[in-house]
Amino acid sequence: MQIDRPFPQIEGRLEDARLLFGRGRYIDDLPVGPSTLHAAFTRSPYGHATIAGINKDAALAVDGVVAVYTAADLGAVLDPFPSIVRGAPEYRGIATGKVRYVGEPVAVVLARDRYAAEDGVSALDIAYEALPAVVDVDAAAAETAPLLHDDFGTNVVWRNRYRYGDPETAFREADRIVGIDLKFPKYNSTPLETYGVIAEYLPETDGYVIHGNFQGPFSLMPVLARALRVPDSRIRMVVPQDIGGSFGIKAMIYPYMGLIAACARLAERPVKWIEDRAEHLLGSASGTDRNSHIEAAVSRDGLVRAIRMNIRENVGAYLRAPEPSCVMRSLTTFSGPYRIESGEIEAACVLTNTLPTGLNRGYGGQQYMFSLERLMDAIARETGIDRIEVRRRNFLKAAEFPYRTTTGSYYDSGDYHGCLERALDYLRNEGWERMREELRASGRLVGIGVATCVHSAASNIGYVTLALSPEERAKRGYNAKSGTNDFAHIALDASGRLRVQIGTAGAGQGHATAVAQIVAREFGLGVRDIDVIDRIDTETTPWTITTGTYASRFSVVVGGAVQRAAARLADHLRIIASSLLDAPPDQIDIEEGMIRVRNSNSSLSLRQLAGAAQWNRGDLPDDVVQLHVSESYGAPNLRSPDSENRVNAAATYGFMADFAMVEIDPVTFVPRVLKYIAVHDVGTAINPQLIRGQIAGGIVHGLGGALYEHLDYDESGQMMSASFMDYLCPTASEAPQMSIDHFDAKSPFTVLGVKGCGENSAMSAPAAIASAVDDALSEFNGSIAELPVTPPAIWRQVAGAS
Amino acid sequence: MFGERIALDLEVNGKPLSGVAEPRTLLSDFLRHNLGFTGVHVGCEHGVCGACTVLLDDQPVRSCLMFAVQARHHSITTIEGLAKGGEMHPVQDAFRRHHGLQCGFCTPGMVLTAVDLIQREPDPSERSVREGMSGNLCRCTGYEGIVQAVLAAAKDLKRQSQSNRTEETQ
Repeated sequence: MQIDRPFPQIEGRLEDARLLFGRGRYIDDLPVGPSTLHAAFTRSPYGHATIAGINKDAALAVDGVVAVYTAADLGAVLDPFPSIVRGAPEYRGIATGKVRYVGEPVAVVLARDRYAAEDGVSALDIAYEALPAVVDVDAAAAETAPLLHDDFGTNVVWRNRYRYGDPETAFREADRIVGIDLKFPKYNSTPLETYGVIAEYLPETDGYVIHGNFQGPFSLMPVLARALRVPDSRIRMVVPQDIGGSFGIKAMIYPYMGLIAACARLAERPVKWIEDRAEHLLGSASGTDRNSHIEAAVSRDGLVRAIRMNIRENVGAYLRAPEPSCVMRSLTTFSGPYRIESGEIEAACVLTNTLPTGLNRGYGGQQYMFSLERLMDAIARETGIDRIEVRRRNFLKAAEFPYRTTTGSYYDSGDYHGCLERALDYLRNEGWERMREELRASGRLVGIGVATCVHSAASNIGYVTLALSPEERAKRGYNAKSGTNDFAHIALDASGRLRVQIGTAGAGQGHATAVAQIVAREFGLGVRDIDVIDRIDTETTPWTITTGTYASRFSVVVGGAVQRAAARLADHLRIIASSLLDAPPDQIDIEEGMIRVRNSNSSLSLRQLAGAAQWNRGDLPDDVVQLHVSESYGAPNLRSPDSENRVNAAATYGFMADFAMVEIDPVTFVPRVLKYIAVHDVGTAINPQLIRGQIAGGIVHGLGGALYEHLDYDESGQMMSASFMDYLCPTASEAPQMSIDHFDAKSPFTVLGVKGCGENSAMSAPAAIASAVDDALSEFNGSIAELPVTPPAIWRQVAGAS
Repeated sequence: MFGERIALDLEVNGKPLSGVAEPRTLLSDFLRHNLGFTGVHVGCEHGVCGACTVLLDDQPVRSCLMFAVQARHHSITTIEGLAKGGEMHPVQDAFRRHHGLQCGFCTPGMVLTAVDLIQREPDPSERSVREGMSGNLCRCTGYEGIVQAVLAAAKDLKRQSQSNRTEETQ
């Protein structure tokens, strides 16, 4: 039975009180036993060097130090982590023979407390012989570049070419070809809580208990299990109640889970490690930096017929799972919101002496949106068509959905023109253009920028396999991959209270609140009437390979499973009530904690029903009915890639219309985002407040990447931004005034009509802000091709013009 | 020197407490691991992020930049001590109402910083709130909800103190 009423709302969230009273339970808050050892890592001070010798004696002599392990020791119980790309250089998470980036773990010191472990790190004697380093992606791809992995013979660790439609004809027949070269920077959206792992080895079962602030995807659990040489189920993964921000970065904790687990096995004691901030910036993970060329075949009236792109992606010192997935968004949604029916994309992943990469909020989205939106601005400039008009002309139309793109993506719904118009209403009502003219008249450099992008969400795990060629995927013995699904469990206790368990651990998104809203709606209850368990213990929590908080999948996939479970439990309750109230199930309504027979006075409370079903089960006629239900939900339309590399990469496709207003100080050239408008199609909104919060946070993540945040290396491979003094996160002073709205082009495919929206402007804001800087520098013909946009970069544009 | 242990007395959230620390033990570590105030969060250990902010004799300090022994005979307020009788402090309540927190990791430092800011400037402008909170990093909220919460809390506290004054004169 389908319940059709609005989602109940509450002020604040179910999670808030715990966190505001200081009673959050993060990884470093968990109690540990007295036998627990504390770990500290010795990390490479060199970008590239041979390890000439390690002498442990002085470290082992430090008071409190119990053990010092290197790769040679850990190798006894820990294998390399399997890669998606067969034959890729070995990745062990700890240096063997050579160090390949500053911050790479070289040894682990275990001691009675962290202070003693750090003393051990200071005392450890390691001799290095420095080697020439390479940090730039194009320099590393050159034949003369220093090799990171000597046996591999090249730093180009993966390359592939993808072709859709008929790009050759489109380019031959184009009225104009518009091309640009771009550089996207390396950054990490730096959750404020760093990584933390507590691991224990259980010799009786040859298994591990690992506590860690791991966000998923759980497809990385088999990677970890293979490295630890145990079946998947022999790792009991426990994720604490609270995670202090994840942003994709906390997917990449898995090598540290492996290292600490191996330490615990060798030491025969539990081991705890909490990463510090310098370690996080040097040694956790980041998004990729990318050099690229993108060009469009454009018709006289500004229509884009085809795109060609050449991507050189810097994956750092090792290609580790789930890379090279960083480039896949650039294939699977290369056309964005536009009707571009042909494309050719060449992509290469290159190894350099920098921190290895992985997920970072948007995972490849910000890189490709920067390319495509910079290109649309360039087309507008070269054709003389207004920036917004050129986008409108190329947009897919509302009547065309659902729409199959040339890459196989199946866009569920949208009204791009309508959503953009809503954003423009904000721009007009707030008088942006007048404000720009006034500020310019007073001598200030002010500009307005735009980005219109598609937000794919709830990814199809099959997209990862685009890294392999169709021939490889066609081989015998190859196991195809596709889909995304999750579980929910719901139970009614004897007092009539509903409890829901989900298989994902959030990091501030408000999962418990949203789940309670879904269930409360189904039963006509208040949000606070529902208890939600949203933490993971794989010994008891159901999970799948695709479980996790990533790819903006929660509301689509977990939300779908919760809705199904709630509806099925409601059906069971109607059957039970029908025997107690002597009425057919389809005549029974559940609302406000009451079970009522329609058009009658006959009713009983949820509490009475639960009591009867629990205590008087023998008198109920049908033994099939249950008070607890587990349901799974797999997002629809997600198949494995076909032989032409076509795949529907995600379950939902939202749309984002973003505007940024940027001011540049005419003396110091310091840029500043004054205002931001974000109108996003998120489908049905379960909780508008949570969505606003996600978008506001996304805007500032995108802003950080556009203007401030940069994991910057010098030529020797030394990192120049290894503390929060040098790695600049935006503060409240840098955050702009925001106008945020959501637009509902309900998804026809998902259970709740929702679309994922969690990565949002973290992907689009770099493009919108670059566009605004161009506009602010219009008198100098400014054109931003590289991020972050720093004052020296702006100065070069201005100086170049005059 | 490292092995030396120093006994120290201090007051935390109105209660006298004592403990033993090495001279080099950070106040943040001492509060968290020796005394169990895990609401003190450590985000950077070099005084930039502000997550570990506590009030020392009612002044905000970065507990990661102090040694435990420096807090001897001082009075400290952590996030655990802000609510009275289970009721949220007006700043906590404003954070709840205005979605001023997501993951909650920066929240204790944000809330305590805001308490101090409003004490010093009971009627702050949005600009001075942004300025005053700019020593605390948040990576989730984009600061939208935080700024709104601090402005609302200032209004609430002002109203509260006005009605308290009215009661006193009656």
